[in-house]
Amino acid sequence: MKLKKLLKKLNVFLHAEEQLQHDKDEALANVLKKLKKKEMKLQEEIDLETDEVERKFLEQELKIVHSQREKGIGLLSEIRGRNPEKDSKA
Amino acid sequence: MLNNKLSRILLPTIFIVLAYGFWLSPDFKAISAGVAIFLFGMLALEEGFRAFTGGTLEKILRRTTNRLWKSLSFGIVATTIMQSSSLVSVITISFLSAGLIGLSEGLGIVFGATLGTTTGAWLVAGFGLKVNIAAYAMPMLVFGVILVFQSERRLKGFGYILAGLGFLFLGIHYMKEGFEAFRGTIQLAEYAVGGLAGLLLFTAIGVAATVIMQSSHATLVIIITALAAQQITYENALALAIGANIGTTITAILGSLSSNERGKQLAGGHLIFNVVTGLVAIVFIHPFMHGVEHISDVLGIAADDYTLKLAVFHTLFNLTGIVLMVPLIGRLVWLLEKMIRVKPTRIAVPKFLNESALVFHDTAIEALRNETLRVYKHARNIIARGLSLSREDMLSDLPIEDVINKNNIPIPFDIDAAYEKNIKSLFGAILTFSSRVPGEAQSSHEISRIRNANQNIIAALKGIKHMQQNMFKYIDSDNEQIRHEYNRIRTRIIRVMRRLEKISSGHEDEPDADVTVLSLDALKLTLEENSATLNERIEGLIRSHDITADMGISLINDSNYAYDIISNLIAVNSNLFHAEAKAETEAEHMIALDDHEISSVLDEDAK
Repeated sequence: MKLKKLLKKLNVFLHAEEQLQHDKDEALANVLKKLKKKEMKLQEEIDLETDEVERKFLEQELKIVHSQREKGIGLLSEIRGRNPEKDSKA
Repeated sequence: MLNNKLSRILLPTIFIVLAYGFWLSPDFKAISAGVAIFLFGMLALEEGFRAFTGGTLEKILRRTTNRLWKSLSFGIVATTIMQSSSLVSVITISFLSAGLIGLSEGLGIVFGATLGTTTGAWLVAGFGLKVNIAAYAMPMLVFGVILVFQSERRLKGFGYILAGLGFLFLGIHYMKEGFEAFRGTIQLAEYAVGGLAGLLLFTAIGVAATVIMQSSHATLVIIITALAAQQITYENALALAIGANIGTTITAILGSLSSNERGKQLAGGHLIFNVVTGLVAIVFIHPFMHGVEHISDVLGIAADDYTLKLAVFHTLFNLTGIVLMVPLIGRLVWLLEKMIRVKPTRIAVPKFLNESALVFHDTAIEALRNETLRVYKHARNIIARGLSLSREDMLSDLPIEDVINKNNIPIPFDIDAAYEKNIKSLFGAILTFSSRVPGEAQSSHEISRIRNANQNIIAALKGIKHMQQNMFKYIDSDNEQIRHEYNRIRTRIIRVMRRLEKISSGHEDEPDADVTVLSLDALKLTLEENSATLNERIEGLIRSHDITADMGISLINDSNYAYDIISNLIAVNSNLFHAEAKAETEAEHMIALDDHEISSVLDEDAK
């Protein structure tokens, strides 16, 4: 049992860099998911908003979220070593 | 409250009594004018010395008061030069309040000042009444006033000193002339009361005269001139001098009203010293008189030269006071500290930064973040008050327009004092604690973000401080346009504060709740957008003469400060927000748009 635990620890130590990369990948993907959710929520709010000024503000925010998603997708693709264009469709 | 009512009644009463006196006697008018000119000279002197404070004077003060004999000598010399123990006392109170000197040093100066002030009696008795001092006053006034018009601070200060001395001498001249003429009409000596009753009565008159004129010097001058004109008896003059010595503490007491407890302690010490000295002089008046006779004989002062004898008496009883009180200075300090307790300054102390938090990296970071959030909360209060608002109103759900309309009067607020009390100590503790966080954590993003957040808070407060003066001037200005523009600045800051509050509260129904760091980018965009349109609008206002060029300059500067405040507030939150998972916070910071990317979105929007 002790040996098994030790081996597991050794494995984590030897693959620390990979693990870090994996965590980064996962975190970016999670944030991107949240941003997508936010984008959809904002779009819904824009559709329902009747006040012109408030709608403009929401539209601006949507543009920001869109730019953030684009940037995030680019970063994720870099990590995964893929084409960002292809990833954005995902 | 009572003070206000009293001063409301007192001032008109004094005016009526004086006007009646002027109507009755032109000589009384000349004496009063002399006193007024004398006091005006004192004001000018004070103004002049003020020009030399803050630099050389402070340095000298610190170096020359570190020993009791030094502070005593300082008091004597300074008062001899300035010819006003009140001025020296008030300056000493201000230094004590500022914490530059301690109470015993302050008392040393004040004791010395009481001896130094006796040189005034010598000056007037030996010099003032025998030479036409107005002849010196005139050139002093002329040179002084020319120098007052100079722009250089020190020259101006020197001008005030010279003009002040000129007015002092001119005042003495007028008082002297008034009493000379008075001599023929009323014989004050006829009202002289002998014995203990007379002694106490004239002591009380001396106190009252000095309290009214706020200058023992002026009273002494009146005593000496009246004595020279044989208006009062020698004994009554001595009692008046004792009274003047007690009454002179009024200026220090008044000066201490606006100071802290330390200043009040010094004024209390001054009062105790002068009352004790006065009592000793009253009780031992006959031995004192014998002493004066003896000294006068030694000095070769004529038996009927009462004015010089008064100067000897004044010096003798003040010297006795010093001899009596100096050994008791330690006890006096103890008594004063017990009577007037210094309220412990409630400087904010760290709540989360403790040794146990340093054991683990994560707990240390969490402690630092929580402490920084406390600093931010204090800063939020300062920002609200700096904008003449209450924190509750600033962060309420009320429409911003209503908040602005409700708080449309500038409310004074000392940002520096609030910073000293609530921010500085915590900021220092955070920096020290962060430098003690163990190992690799030192170079982590988290630590550097927390440090940055603290610096952002300080920068935002600096901006508020810079803006406060003009904000005060313009939020209730008669010019509607400038008032509107300054309220617009307030509105922008309130809006950002509310938005940041909402994002940080992390309500689930908030679309930003999941991505707090990223949600700040929208605020950055609004900030850039506002700043881009602002200059154009200000130029338009100046062109249409809705605001003056001066107002425009103030507005441009303050808009820049507002920009800095807002961007620093956004940065504080960006540095402090964090997702549940550490990796996600890092991911959010990676995705957050930089200034260039924000500008690109803005450009796209413009198209």
